Amino acid sequence: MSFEPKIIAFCCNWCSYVGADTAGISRFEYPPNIRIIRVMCSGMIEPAYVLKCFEYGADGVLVTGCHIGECHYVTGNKKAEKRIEKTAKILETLGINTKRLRLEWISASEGTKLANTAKEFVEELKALGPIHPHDTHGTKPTDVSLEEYPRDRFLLSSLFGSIDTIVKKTKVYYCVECGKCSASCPVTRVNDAYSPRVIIEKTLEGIGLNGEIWSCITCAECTQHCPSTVRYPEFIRSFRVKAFSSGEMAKCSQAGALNIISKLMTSSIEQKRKSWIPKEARTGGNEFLYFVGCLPYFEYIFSDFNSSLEIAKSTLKLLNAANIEPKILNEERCCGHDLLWTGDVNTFEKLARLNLKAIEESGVSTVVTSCPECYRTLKIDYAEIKELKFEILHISELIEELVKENRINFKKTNKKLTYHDPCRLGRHLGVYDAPRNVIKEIGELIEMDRSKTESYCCGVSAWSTCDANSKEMQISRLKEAMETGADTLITACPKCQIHLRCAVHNKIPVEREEDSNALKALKIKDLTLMATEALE
Amino acid sequence: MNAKGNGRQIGVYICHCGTNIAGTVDVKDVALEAGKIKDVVVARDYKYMCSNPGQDLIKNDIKEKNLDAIVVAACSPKMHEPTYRKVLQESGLNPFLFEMANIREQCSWVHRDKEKATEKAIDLVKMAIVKVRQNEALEKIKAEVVQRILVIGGGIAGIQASLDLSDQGYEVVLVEKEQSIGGRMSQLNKTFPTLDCSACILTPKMVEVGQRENIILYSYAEVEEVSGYVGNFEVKIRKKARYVDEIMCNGCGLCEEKCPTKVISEYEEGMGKRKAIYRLFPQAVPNIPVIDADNCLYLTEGKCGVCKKICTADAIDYEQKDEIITEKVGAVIIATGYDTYDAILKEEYGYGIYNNVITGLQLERLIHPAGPTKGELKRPSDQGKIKRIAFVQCVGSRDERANKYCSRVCCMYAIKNAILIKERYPDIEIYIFYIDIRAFGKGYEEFYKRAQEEFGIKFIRGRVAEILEDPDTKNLIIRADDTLLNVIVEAEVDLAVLSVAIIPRKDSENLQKLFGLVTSPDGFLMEAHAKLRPVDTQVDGIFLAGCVQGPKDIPDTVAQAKAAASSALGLISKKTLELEPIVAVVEESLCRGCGDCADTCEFGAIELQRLNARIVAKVNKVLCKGCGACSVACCNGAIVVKNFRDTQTFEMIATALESQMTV
Repeated sequence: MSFEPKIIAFCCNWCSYVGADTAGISRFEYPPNIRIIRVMCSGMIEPAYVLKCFEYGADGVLVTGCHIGECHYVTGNKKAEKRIEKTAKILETLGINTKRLRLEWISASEGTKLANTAKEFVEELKALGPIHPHDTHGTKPTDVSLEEYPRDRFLLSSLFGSIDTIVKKTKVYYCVECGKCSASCPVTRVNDAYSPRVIIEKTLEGIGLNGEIWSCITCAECTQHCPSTVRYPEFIRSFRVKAFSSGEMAKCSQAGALNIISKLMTSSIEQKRKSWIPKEARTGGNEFLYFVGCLPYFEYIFSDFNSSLEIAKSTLKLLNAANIEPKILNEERCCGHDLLWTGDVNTFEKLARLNLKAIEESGVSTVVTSCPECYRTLKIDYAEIKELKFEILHISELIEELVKENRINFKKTNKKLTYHDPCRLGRHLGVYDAPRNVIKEIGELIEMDRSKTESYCCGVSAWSTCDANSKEMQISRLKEAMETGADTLITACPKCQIHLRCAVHNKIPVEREEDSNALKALKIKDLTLMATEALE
Repeated sequence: MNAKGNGRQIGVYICHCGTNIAGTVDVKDVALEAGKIKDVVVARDYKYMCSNPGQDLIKNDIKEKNLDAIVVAACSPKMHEPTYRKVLQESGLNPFLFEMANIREQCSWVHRDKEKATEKAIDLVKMAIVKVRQNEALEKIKAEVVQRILVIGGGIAGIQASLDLSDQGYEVVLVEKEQSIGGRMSQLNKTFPTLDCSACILTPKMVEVGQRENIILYSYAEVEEVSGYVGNFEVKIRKKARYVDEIMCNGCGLCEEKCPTKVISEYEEGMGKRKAIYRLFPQAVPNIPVIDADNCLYLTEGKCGVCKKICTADAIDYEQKDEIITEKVGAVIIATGYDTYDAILKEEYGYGIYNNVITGLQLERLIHPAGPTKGELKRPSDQGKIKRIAFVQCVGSRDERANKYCSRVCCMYAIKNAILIKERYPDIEIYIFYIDIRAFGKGYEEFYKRAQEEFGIKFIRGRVAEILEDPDTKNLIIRADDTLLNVIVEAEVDLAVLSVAIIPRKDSENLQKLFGLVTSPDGFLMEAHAKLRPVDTQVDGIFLAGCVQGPKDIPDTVAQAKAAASSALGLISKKTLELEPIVAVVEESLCRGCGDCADTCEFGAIELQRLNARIVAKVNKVLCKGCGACSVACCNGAIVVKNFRDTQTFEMIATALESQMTV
């Protein structure tokens, strides 16, 4: 059977949907490959909608709206145009031909245009072939076959196990109901209806958990204080896996676009994730691998207020400065952190295995990450899938080492800098000193009240806890940074940077205008960027 | 709410629409497949779902099977969504627990392969089912209605609509772009087929508009800005400076008489002249002149000032500025009329090159008793006597190179003017070159017959190929193929009248954008439904009357004006109005108070409010139009459009793609 592309078309209620009706009224025949979804306006189409279509195996997505200037809602189509442009860039990075995403303005009277667009698009997609190279139709791109690995380690057994297993593996039995967890929990601080202690008690008493499992930011502040060393973040994670498998989903920001992007990376479609690498950069050595993570994708999603690739570029610059020419793999995929922590353990496992295979085949001995989440995932979670044959470092650790070995030097300035500990780097993996030692090489480090093990959270983890509470945490954290008198807040996590910058990018809920201005004036910078600027 | 459904009891109904759907889609199979889906309690097919027995079928099932959500797979929701919502309502179900699968316009009518069309129909039905699972019961939003109306355009359509509304006791704001109401009809000499004098039937209505206390007339004014929504529009009207005080002026006309500057008159279609201070015509309403600022000696060069000197009422005000007036109205009737086709574009007819080639509207002015020649028909080139006239039909209409549509009035206005000329100058020979004579109205065919039999006007079936001028005599040679006699005709005439098409006004595009309307392929503003909602538009509260919607003669224009007035009345006669409840809603616990939603909203429907120490967004349900721009602007889905939630769209996507399409 010849290949027949599957197309989802979004049509706006006022023009293009009526245009499709006009095609019908005029009996303009077109191929039946298209399924139309009516939306009120093209401006309500999330990039995530388009990505979702590809996740579910669409070969093409057609977005239609009123002609520019004719939008029923004034500028909805202009907004759609911008978002589709952004989406196309994401698709391009994912290796999906951008011809598969088509934007057309079709008025209510243009039945012919709709029919012709459908015909053309089908022909174009036939010429391009199926989106997933190995199937003719029907197979979701996520269905890639992977060799089986034993699932007997801590992480995996607890993730797939019964409630008893989870309770045992995460040491919930040890809980003495002292309440230290709830008293230290940053979520409880802003929302006293949430209590880790109560959640543990409920579980022990056999009472089912509902929405509360999605409120935890898995920052491990509770674990830090727990006299019984209950592994609360991992406990929550296991319950999320259970909830996910019964159809419950985390409420993720960006309509879940980032998780969909991660899922799309399980496909065998070849990404184009290396186009950001500057021409003058030197890469391709055999010793180090720079695991870039999802920075090329964050770049487009958060383009309104943040650049993530500047972190990747500075990392590369730093490594080059120390004469390290890292390998950067186009076969690299999302580490799977966010999927794992929102319960989609199957997709996580696929990503993990694909990454492990790629890293092993590259033959490097050390993997460096910019992102503490990649760091934790590789170092702890991947290690539970398979014994790692390479060392993993966070960039802050590597810089510290390079400075010690005099392989790079910084100009010391009198800049006042304060440092925000990312939870994955700090409490999850105990890396507190490396970033501090680097900062001290660059300027004066002023600690915030809550730092190191007591560090306050950026408010969001795995894109799933972004809400009013997280905003409050973020503002509280930024105020704290501001009060140190430092002019720059240094983070060592690209995601912390996004979350903190997001909190101040528009309106800020503070009582006084001056506070708002001061918060906006506070610079938020990644450690690598700060270090690159200070390079001698 | 769980993405997998909440245990709804769904009824699915597949319409055959006679053979419209059932001819291409295996409706039985669709019903069978729909019946297999989770939560679907009953799935049936029926010949005509929208018929009474069809509706009763749904009603009975709702009662007997305790259904709480309905999917109908039939025609476009644009057609029958209201019908079925009513069915739900009458059965005690919330009308928003309903979805339609469009398996006619978007399936059976566009595909021929029965198997593939059936498969697509099944998918569309499944998609509607997964959507309806998550639909919320919604209540219509009540809003106060401003019980006044705005009529834009003071031609016969606007005049008639205003008078009808005023008759019913409602206040009308009538905005006319020109300095007087009257419009195109005031330019006409007599009207077909009764040959009433246009002024005789129009002027009394104009005077009435001027006299009615509940009609506020803004002449020489244009609508500049529109905000609000059905029942509550706020419009900003620019009242252009006329440099004449409307209260002081008594309309004596002395200024017009004494003004030394003569300008080609637009109203006379370039056939005559006017002054720099002028009224369009003597019966103007309001009877107040306007100074043409581009040509007035005082306003351009600071010289002259004669009008001010001689005005006994002290009404001349050279300092007058444009004024912006804000009016609140509940509904709007757009009756801005038409332009005529620019005959210069048909080079072969020599318009604009040969003086003796004129347009139909110019002829109207030439034979008008109040026109530039006082009704005396003379050759434009030399003011000489006219012996032969040719009318050239379909100039700029029924023409793939210009406008495809039939302009409807040209046959009749050509015949009418031919008869009028024959009545006064029986010796003039008249030829009408036509393709078809479209005498569609009451008494029109009889009128056409009279033209042939009583007045001996010669009708030649053939499209004129070219018009040439004899440079010595300035006579015109008309060349055409007489397709009935199969001979090439070359007629020498003194005057050629081009029956130019009615075309959309150049400025109607502004109005279209201002009100967010759509146009038909012909460029005229589009009605909500060609047959059943001919005066409504897609925007609630905005109605169309007259040629702004498409070419029309006077009887049809008046009928449409009355229809628009009656439809608008149905709206503004109520004190409160029910609005669609598909609007945005904020989940306060998620809202981060950043204000991105408020910044992106084009309708000012979102405000940020303090909630303890936080800021949260709040939606004004009445202002919100449910476009969903805010939901995308919001980073974390704290604001969503009801019944258009992300989870619903995701389910539809997944459903559409889960089946192995064998297309």
